[in-house]
Amino acid sequence: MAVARRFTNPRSLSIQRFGGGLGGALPYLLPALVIFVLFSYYPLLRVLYLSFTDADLLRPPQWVGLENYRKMLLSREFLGSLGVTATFALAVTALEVGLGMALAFLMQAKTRFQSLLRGAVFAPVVVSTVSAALIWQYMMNPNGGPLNAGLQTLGLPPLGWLTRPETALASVILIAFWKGVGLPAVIYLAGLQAIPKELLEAARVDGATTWQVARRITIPLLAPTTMVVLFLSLVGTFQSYGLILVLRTDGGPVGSTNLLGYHIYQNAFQYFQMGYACALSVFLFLLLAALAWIQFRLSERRVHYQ
Amino acid sequence: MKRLNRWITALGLAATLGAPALAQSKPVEITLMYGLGGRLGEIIRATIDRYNKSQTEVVVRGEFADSYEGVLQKALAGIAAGQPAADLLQLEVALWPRLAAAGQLTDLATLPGFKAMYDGFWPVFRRQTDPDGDGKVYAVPWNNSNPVTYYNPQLLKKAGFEAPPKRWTEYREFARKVKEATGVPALAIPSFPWVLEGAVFSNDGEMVRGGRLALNEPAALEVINTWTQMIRDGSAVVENANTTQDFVAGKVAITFQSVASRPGIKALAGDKFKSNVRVANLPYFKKPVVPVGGATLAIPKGIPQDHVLAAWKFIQWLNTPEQQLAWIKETNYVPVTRATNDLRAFQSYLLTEQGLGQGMLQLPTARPRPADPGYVQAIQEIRKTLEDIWLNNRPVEPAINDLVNRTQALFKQP
Amino acid sequence: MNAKTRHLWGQRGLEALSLLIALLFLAPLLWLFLGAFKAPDGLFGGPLIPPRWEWENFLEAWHSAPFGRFLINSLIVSSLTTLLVGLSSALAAFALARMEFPLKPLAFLLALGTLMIPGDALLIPNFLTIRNFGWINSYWALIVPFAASGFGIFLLRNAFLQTPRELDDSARLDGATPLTFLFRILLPVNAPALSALSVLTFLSSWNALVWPFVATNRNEWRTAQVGLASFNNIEGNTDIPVVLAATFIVTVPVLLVYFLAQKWFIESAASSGLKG
Repeated sequence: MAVARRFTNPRSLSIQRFGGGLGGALPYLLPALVIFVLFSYYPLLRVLYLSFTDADLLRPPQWVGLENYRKMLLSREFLGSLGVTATFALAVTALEVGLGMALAFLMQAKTRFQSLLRGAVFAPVVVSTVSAALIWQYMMNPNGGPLNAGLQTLGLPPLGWLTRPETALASVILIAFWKGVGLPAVIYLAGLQAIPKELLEAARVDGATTWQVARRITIPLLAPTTMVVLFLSLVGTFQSYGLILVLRTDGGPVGSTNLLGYHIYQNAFQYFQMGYACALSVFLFLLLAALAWIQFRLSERRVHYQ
Repeated sequence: MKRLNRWITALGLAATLGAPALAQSKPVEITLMYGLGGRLGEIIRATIDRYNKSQTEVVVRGEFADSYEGVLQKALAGIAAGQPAADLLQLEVALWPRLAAAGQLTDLATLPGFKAMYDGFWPVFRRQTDPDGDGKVYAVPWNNSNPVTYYNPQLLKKAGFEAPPKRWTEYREFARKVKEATGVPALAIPSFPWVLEGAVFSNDGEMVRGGRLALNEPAALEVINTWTQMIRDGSAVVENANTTQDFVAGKVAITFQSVASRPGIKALAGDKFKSNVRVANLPYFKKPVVPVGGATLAIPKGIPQDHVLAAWKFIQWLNTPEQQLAWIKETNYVPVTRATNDLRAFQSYLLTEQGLGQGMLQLPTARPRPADPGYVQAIQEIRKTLEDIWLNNRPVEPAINDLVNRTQALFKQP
Repeated sequence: MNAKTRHLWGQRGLEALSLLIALLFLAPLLWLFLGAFKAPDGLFGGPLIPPRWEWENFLEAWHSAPFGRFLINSLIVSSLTTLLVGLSSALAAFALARMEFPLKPLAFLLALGTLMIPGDALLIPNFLTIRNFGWINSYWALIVPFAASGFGIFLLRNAFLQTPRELDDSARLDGATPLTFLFRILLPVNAPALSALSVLTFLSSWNALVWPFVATNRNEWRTAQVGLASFNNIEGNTDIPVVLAATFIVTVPVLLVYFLAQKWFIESAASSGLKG
């Protein structure tokens, strides 16, 4: 896409238009750049440095080389946490993409409840994480909470929700999904609305079923939107741990909700292991950068082939 | 009482007027960072107000840091910044040893009037704040408690019991009968190892011995096995965030919680408190032992000397019997000084409701919690292992051996 | 069954499904609103509609912490952050979309890279920085570190790139400076993208929890989320309806604004992905 743009807009023209050169561009870039350097990259370098030390915030840090990284790779807690994080991130992302799209289809349907549906699906997005965690924590009370009461009405056995290792992570995923799916859903909705009606009608006239139209035309046309949703969701979910903090599961039971972000937080501020926490942070950064890079390459290829 | 105080203050003022330098000096303002919210937070703020009104030399300003973890986090950030987060920190009993070991807390034993105050503490609190007995003291007890047995007499009665058993060894049979008669689990057992510490100590065991967790020793294994059997046969459940709710609603007959949970349980139970909630001692194996918990007050290193002295004055005021009593009445924490016990007002207060003095009655058998710096992190590992045994049906011995091995590194000297 | 009735049935089905899903999404909020009015012993297992409406819960929640102040702090911090992010992103995106300069890919990469940095890992270094600036307990500490956004730059740059260059030419002919072009023409044309950015920035600032907690010690500077999170203190609180009332107090203002401007909100948020 960028390549095509360059052909239609020769560089020389744009330089001529609004200045250029480093001197010309710098004043525009400066505000953002200063903030990024001060509050993102400088501290990132500090974190990188601390990851090679035994920093505990109590004493001057001592250089320990790769010790923290060695410890990390051998640590069962870390590997467990990584598994939990990947499950959480992939599950939430898959739900947001899949059901987000499905909800968008439904939100586009002209019904009496169209406006209600749109409003309802997006409403949790404006509810804060803290509020969401508080509400759901009580709703998930296994003894007499409304969720189990609901299951009982349906003739289903009650669940332990956050109190059982086999359901705790799924419960957190459910909360994250409720809180988060509104955004991808409306993004998809906008994507749907941008698809030319004639295209769909032509397909209909050719005798395609609704499902065929969706599979052959709509979903492929939504691919760029999917890329954006995927990217935002993955990057966000891999870092997130606010829910865990407020739900006070302490990463449990049995480590089943020990998201990497929470593991880092705990090591830094409860276990006096800042150096180790920094090594974990560096790992998380590299992981996210790698994910972003893979995704970028994938979307680039897609664009080229189209 | 209040009026009297005011008169005394006025008299004191008049006396100091003779010394012009003193009268003109501005009060020292210090900050206290605390981690208790809700009702308890309100009580702390009221206490601070009372102190500020009671004298003119020191003004205390309370800063709320969300939770004990929050206080620690802010304390660490302050240390990293070379500027203490506050003049006075409320540190959970397991947290201060690490800060003290790193030389980040002021030795209070050097401050005026220390010995007189310190000698007035119950022995358990002296041991808690000076575990190695070297005479250096970096924290003084403030809000301290121990766990007790809260039980529902109505549910017990259905199974023909007046009160819960005194010993853990009798619990299995008891729990089975309660479950049979009532249909609800007899007790909720916490995976947070506070009650565990008490049970292990009472069985002549230790939590930490020789630089490692001692949970694989027979004394501790007996405790864990006893509990595990009850959980596996369904007569006990694992405590969770909703246990207090469940207990008040009659969905579990017994819960082991801090004496200081009493006001919360009372508020939750409302009218049913009197008929449905009773308090008894914590059960034991060989001899009664309870662990003490709660938080201490500590003065960080690196604050100006006049702030140290001002903070110290506030600490001394908090430890006067009258203030202890006022504090206990609101919070049901235990008195840390023995003199409080001698107050007639305290004794008559204890008689006003069943079980108010339970925490205090247990103090002679109280032991401090493990003070090893590595224990803070080990707690989370213990929790995880117990949950693994209880919720995932993992066999006890391999799980405990694994726990002991993997936490060994935490206890090595840095 | 002919095509018409089938269509009718389909329509009925869609309607029923829409209603059901809308109710499922709203149910937790409904439960919050009702629960905030209940007595503690009526919350679990009691009737759904409170038999007696306990307004006292709200009084107690309101008095236990200065929520008014918290909400105003949150409003100020989120609004200013949103404004500054809009400004800094627009400026940088303009340079990236309309100027040629050396190291341009690097500048763009630097902006995108910030999305990958786990923000809370930087707590301590950032705490030291703002302390050196003397910003502890101030709005500065809560706003400035978030005054630029890699996502914002990415979003606006894409929007600007897709804006026809003919606009540039006509602006040049009218003698517009780059800044007047940016603020008078380019941004208004891209209002959807800008309002998308604003909505998302405002919400994420409103949502922030860990940093505002670390950067402030005093109630004067606390935000609503920090104040609310401290309610969930196990040692102190067992009166859940009061916690729910506090949650209500913090949640309802935003929800109210949202429902009043629902269409705008949704359309704004939607345009964040369109130009991907």
